[in-house]
Amino acid sequence: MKLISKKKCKFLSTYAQSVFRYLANSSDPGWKQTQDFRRLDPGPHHGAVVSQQSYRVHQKFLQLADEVIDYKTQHITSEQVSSIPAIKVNPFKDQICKVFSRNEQGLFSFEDFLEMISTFSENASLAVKIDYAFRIYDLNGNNYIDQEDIRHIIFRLTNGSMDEADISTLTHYILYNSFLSE
Amino acid sequence: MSEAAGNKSSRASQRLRNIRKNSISRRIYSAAYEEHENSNSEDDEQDDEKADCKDPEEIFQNIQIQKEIISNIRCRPWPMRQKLKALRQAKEIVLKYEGRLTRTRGYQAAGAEMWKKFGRLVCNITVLFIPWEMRIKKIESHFGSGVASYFIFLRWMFGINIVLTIMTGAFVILPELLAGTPFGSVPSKTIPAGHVASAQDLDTIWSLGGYLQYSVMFYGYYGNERKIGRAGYRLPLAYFMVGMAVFAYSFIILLRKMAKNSRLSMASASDENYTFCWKIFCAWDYLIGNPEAAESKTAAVINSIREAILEEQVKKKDRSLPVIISLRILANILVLLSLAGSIYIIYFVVDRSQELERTKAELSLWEKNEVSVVVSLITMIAPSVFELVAQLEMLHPRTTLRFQLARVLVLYLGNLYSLIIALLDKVNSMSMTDNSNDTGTAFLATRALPEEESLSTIVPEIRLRQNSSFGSEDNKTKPLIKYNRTALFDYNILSQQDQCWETYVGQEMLKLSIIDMLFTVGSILLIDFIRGLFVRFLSDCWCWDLESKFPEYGEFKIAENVLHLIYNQGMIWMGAFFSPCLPAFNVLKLIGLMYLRSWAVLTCNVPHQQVFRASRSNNFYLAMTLFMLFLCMLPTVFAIARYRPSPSCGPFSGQDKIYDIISETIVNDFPAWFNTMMSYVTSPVVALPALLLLLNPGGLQGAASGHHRGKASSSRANKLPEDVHPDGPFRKCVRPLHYSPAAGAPQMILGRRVHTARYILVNEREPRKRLIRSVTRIPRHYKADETRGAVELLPRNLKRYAVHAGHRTNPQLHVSEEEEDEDDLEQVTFSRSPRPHSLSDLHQPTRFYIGDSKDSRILIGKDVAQMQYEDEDSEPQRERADPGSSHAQWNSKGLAPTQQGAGAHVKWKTKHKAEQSLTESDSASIASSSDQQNSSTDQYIQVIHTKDKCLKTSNENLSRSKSRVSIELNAAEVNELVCSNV
Repeated sequence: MKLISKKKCKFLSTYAQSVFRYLANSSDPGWKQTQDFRRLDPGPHHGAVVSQQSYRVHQKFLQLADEVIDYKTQHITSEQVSSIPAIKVNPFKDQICKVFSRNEQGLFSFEDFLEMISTFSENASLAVKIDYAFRIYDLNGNNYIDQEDIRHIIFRLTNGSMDEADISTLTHYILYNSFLSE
Repeated sequence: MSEAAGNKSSRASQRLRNIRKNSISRRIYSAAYEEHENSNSEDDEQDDEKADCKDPEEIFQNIQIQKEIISNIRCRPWPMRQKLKALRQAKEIVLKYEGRLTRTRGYQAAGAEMWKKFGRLVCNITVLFIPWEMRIKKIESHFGSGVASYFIFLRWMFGINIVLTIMTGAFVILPELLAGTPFGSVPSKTIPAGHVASAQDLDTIWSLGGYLQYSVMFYGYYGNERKIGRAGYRLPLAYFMVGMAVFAYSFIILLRKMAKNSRLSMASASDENYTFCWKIFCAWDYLIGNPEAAESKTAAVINSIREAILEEQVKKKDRSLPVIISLRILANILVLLSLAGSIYIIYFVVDRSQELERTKAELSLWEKNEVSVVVSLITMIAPSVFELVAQLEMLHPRTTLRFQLARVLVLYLGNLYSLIIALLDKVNSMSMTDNSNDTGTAFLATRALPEEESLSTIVPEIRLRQNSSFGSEDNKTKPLIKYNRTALFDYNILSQQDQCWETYVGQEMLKLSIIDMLFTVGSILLIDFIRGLFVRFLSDCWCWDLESKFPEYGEFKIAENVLHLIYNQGMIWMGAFFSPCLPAFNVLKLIGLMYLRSWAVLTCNVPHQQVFRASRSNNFYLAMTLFMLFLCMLPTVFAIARYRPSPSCGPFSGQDKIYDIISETIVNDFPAWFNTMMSYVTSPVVALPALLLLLNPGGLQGAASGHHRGKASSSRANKLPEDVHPDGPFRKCVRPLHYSPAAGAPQMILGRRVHTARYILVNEREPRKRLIRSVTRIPRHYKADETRGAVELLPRNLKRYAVHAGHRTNPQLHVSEEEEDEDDLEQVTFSRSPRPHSLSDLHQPTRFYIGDSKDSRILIGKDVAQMQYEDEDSEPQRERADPGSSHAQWNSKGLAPTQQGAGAHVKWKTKHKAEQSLTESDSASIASSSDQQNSSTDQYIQVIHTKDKCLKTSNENLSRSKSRVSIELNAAEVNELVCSNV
């Protein structure tokens, strides 16, 4: 059976730059997320200088959370994350939530949330983007993008309005494509 | 130079010693990593103890490694918590040991930290000041990045125009306003008596006459005194320099932007290979945050997928349809016809307007503006015509779009060109009248009004001819004479003021720009807004569905709009020399356009159905802009170089050519020696070689970047431009070096670009014999790994080598050359063999070569360890499913002892094999990026690089002069290098 393994998804690198722009960008101007992780360095956990960006992420985080108890232990649910407009309309929103939350129940800690925002940011490195792109497209979680995954991807992208024959042709082409490229 | 090289080499040898100690620090490194994995801090303290060594070198190494962690941590797909922990730990270690080396280092670090924080603050603040950021984000979140790219481009254009405005404003307009002679003092700054009465009329102002014509807005107003004001500001010189600087700045900024973008968009080169992958995996625009936009995006995705499938099927069938072909021919003929028609119309209109101006006393509003109105109308209508025609062609949508863009661009250029040519034509006739003015007024009258009867006495021949041609008109003499009188009067005034052809061109350009702006506003309101209103409110009570059938909502056509922006900018470039206020006007225009467009897009447009992948990193717009800039520069420069400036107005009046101002300044204001020097410099003797010299690095760079592009599959490659492809050139360095001691002659490595010195470093510790062996082995091994890029690069090297070899008679060299040829052959065959090239593959040779010597063997061990590390950390949460990684582990264990006790030939060979397998397994096992690894090897390389450059430059010198002396010098240099290392 033909599969696309993670090693073989070199083609992912060719476009990861364009795929994952900063999703974290909505009409909120401060929401322009500069990923720079290092900006965190004293970190909100230390209560020291918090850079503007991570502060804004934090604000957004708190805004998404219903009631705030303590931001260190605060978790938000996947549903709450999905209420961000750009994720709301995304066909892979459940998968995005699954990939970024480190929790089985789909709860996001602040760090998870920050990780998500930073990955979608413009400045995130290609390696990180490729990694997460792969994980998002690996729908069944077997570390390969296989026929089933591709079928599901097409299904989701086209909102189910593609007929089965076309999907299978397309799947075939894609796998053929990615094997040619080796 | 040799001294410097020696110095560097000694430093390099010190470095080498550091490398040996690397294994220890490697332990720390990997242990530190384990800590991240296990989240257990006991290990950490243990590490600290381990790392607590006395040797400052070791500490230094450790710090370097920790710093690498810090700098690379962003590139790792770890969970945030893990990153934070690793980062904190690494920082602690750095802090702990850094102070121990020197005290100043601590201060340095503190200063750097402060600086970084300050930089961040500045960065945060500047984000707030980026104009329209929020507006663009809003559009982006509604329509995706395609539409936003138009606005970003608009903003960028705005930025350019701001700079241009500042340039012209600060150096031309302000000085003239402050220090120039005031309005009304000289004839060129005074409104002629006959026009004063109408100078404030609306239609005069509208056609940029009257007060506007005699203002700083146009060329004619500027005085021609060499210096103005008390400070002695040289306005004419400044005017000329600014005019040129406008072009120069635009060029530079464009090229810089393009270079920056091309670095980002490496990906686009390999588009064609992954059509379907692109279509599926990149289909979604992750910026879309609006349900409606999401729906239309889905529709677009479906469309594009269907098209792709169809295309693929068509490709397979490969049918040729005569109908389609004939249709396409027809379409192209239609397009060509409409292009020719538009050009003709423009030429005709300009001609007519000139005729009208010459013959008619009072021009109506329409007559004054018809040129610009016609041009704007054509730019509005013709693209839609092209679009209709393109439907005949039945091409693939993307090709259609490209054709469409190309046609529209040609149309715009044709418009501008026919306009400027017609204008220059008029200029021509103007300067001819000027000439006649000098020779005699009578002749002027002849040219201007050939019907005038008074001239018959002066020029009888003409009179004769006129008699024959105008004889028929003689019977209606009476009205004709009257008419002529007014024309004569008119012309006399015109000859005073309108001789300023520069002002005339500037006026026309500004007029065109204004009319274009009005038309843009009109079309936005009419085509987008009114239509949107109509569709939305009448759709309920209409017979058919307005929203989905006929009028629909206006689409936002990104490409056409961008093209229009470029066209607009082209007008500015064309006219900026003649009307210094044009950039300022354009700034206002762009601001207005920004607000109007963004409003229109948000209220009444839907995204374009067609996929036009225009991201920020797309050089398409920029390439078109560059094209436009170049073509718009031509007529202006031509006019400057070719035509005589008008004698009665403008900063260059009285000169023969506009550019004479430069030579005049040089002659008058610079010392004599400078003058003579300039005459030497500008002579062909110097200029020609200088030109060649300028061309040379460009070519080299182009070749290098081409090669680079071929190899690089990710943007990471950019960071290590020289390290990515060490194989080709490096392989070449091997032989000359190892022959050099044997032949006793300075076998310099001519034109070797990369890593030469590194090889010296590594190899001289080996006994010669073994060296030869290993040397002959290395290329064989490497050819297998080389990609095609190396093959491309090869002939160039070889050629150089041959040239050099021709110079001396060294039999051994010839042998090596032959060998090289063989190698090339082999290489070709090898390079065809299909091998997976993963990212890490590119870097193997580097590692290998370092590993070649005895003392850096530890490095190999280190690399293996690191590899393990890589392998684990790339998938921190998943089990390792790869057999390759275990293989690598095995290698590291098995290799270490052999390497330590190396020396004999046999062992050397086995090591080779082991390494070979190692590299293979390595390439298989590491797929995710290995930035850290690369940079760790780079560290050593970088130091050596500097020396490399030194060698390179000396080589260049050598090759250029080819004198014996410098060869001697080089020999000494090499020897010194070798000695210092031992």
